[in-house]
Amino acid sequence: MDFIFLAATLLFYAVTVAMAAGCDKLGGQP
Amino acid sequence: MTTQSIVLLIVFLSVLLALAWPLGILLTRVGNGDAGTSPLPGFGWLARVERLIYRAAGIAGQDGKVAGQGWKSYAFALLLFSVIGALVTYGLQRVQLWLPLNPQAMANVSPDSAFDTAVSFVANTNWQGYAGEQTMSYLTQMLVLAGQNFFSAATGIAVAYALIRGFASRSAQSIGNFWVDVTRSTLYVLLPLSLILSVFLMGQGVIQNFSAYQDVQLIDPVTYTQPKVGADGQPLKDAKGEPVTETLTATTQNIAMGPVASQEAIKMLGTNGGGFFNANSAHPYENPTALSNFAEMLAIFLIPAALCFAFGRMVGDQRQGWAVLGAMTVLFVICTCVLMGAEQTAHPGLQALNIDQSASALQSGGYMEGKETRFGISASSLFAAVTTAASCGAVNAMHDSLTPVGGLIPMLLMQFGEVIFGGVGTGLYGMLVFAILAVFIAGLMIGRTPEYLGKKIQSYEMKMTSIAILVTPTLVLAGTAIAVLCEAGKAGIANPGAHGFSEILYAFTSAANNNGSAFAGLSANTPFYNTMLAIAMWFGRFAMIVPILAIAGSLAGKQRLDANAGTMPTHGGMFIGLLCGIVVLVGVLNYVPALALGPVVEHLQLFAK
Repeated sequence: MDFIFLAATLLFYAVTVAMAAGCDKLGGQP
Repeated sequence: MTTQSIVLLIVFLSVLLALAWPLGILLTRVGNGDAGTSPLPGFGWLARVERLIYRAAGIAGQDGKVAGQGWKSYAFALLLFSVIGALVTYGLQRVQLWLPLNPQAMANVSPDSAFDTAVSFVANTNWQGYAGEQTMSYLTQMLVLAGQNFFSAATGIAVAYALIRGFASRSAQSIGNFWVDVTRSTLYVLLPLSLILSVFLMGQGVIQNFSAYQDVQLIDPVTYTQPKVGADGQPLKDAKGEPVTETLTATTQNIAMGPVASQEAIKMLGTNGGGFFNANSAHPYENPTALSNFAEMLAIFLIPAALCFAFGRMVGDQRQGWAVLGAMTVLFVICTCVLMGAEQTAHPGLQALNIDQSASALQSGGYMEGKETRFGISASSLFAAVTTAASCGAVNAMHDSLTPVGGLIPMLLMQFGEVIFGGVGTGLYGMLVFAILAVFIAGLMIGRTPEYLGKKIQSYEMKMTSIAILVTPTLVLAGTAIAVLCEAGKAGIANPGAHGFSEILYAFTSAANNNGSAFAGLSANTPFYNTMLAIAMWFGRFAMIVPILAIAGSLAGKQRLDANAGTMPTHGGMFIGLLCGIVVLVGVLNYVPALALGPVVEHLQLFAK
C-alpha cells in the first residue's frame, strides 16, 4: 500500500515537472 | 449588521494596516537583499546562520556567493523541495508509533490518510481528514506538520518574490534563487513572527506542553447524541437516508494536551490553517479569548497585506502596491458585510418556533448554531471571511452550520481564486495574474498593446495567465462532478439534498484553492476522498505556480518601458474597479451554475412552505 502512495507522490512530481518543460516549449523569452 | 460588527471590521482593518506597513519594509529588504546579509540591524548573527545553511547545503560557491536561477531552474528546485517534503511527511506519519514524543501511543497513520495529509501540508492547504488529537503524535505535529507550515508558506513568498522580480528587472536572465528566497523568508520573517505570536498566545492561555492527556471529572454528567458509525468508520443511515444517532452520557472527560502554541502561530501566519485539535480555533486551547481571536485573524492577513506594500516598493512605485491592496480590501469588505448580515439575520426555522434571535446585552443574537458563545456572531463571521479570503482555512466556528448565504460567501471567496488577500505569497501572485488579465482586456478595448509596470504583455504571458487562472476551476468542477457521480463520493454526505452537494463542492473548492476549511459534515477520511482531494491540492498549488514562474521568467527578460501619455495607469480608482470586476467576473462565470445547485437552492428552501 505504501508503494502505491509513494508512487502517486512521485507521479504528481513528474507531471508538474513535465508541465514546466511544456510551458517552456510554448515559447517566451529565452 | 450590528454596530459591534461594523466597529470590529473597521478596527481590524485599521490595526492590520498599521502592522502591515512596517512588515512590508522588512519583506522588501528580505527580497531585495543579497544572500547572507541581514535585512535588519542587530541580526548579523542570523545572517551567519543563513550563510552556514548555504554552505552546508552546497548552494554557495567557493566565494560564498549564490548564483541566480532562470525560471525553469527555480521551478525545478521548488518542485524538488516540495516532493521531498511530501515524502518525509508521509514517511514519519507511517512510523510515528515507534518514535518518541508519543505519550498517547498514537498508531501509525493509514497510508491513504498519510498521503492526503502529506500533500495537503506541502501544498499549504492543511485539509485535515483526521482529528489531530486522536491521530498524530507530538513528534509528527511538531516536526513534519509544523515544519511544512513554515516551508510551504516560505515557498509561497518565494514565488511572489520571483514574480515581482520579473516586473522589476530589466532584460535579466534570473528571477532570484529559490533556496535563498525560502531560507531568508523563513529566517527573517516567519520564525521571528511565529516566536512573538506564540508567546502572546501562551499569555492568552494557549497550552504548550508534552504532557499525556488528562482525565478530569465533570461537575455535571453530560448526556448527548452523536451519529452512529459502522465498522468502516462511516456514519450509519436509516432506510430514509437519515443518519442513525445514539445517546450517550459522560461523567469524565479526557482533555488533550500538547505543544499547541508553537504550531498555532505559524498555522495562522503562514495561512496554513491546520489545527492541532480537530475543533481548530474553536478549541479553547487553540483560541481561548476574544483577544487571541483578534490576534489570530490579524496574523492570517498580516503577511499577505504586507506583501502588497513590498510589491510596490520592489517595483519602484508604491502606488501599485496600494492599488492591489485596495482591490483586495474592496472585495473583502463587501463579502464580509454580506456574511455578517446573513448570520445576524433571524433564521426562519427558529423564528417559527418563537425563539428570540435579536442581539441584546445578554446574547449576540442571530444564528448561533456551530458558533462559540465567547466569539458570538461578529467575531465568528469575520473569522470565517478572513480565513477563506486568505487561503488559511482555520476555523473558529463550524462552516457547515452557517446559513445558506453565510456559507455561500466563504465558498465564493475561495472560488475567486484566493486572491482577496489570499495565502502568504499566493494571494499576491494570484492577484497579479488577474492584473495581467485586466490590462490585457483593457488593451483589447482601447486597441493598444497591453503593458503592466512597463512590461509588454504578449501572447506567451496570456497563455500562461490562462493556464494559471483555469487550473483551479477545472479541478473543482471536475472533482465535484466525479464525486457526485460515484457511490464512494456520495457515501460521505451527512445531509442528503442540496446541502450534501454543497458539502462536496466546498471540499473540492477548498482543496484546489489550497484553503483547507470544510463543510465538515462530509466524511472525507476515505480512500476516495483522500486520493481525489490530494490530486486537487497538489495540482491546485503547483500547476498554478509553474505558469506563474514562466510569466516571471518571460517578463524578467524584457525591457522595462517608460510610461507615456498612452499608458493606462494601473494605480488609480479606475484600475482598482477594473481589477475587482475581472476577479468577480471570472469567479462568477466559472461557479454560478454549481452554486445555484447548492447554497442558492438551500437558501430558497428556507422559505419553502
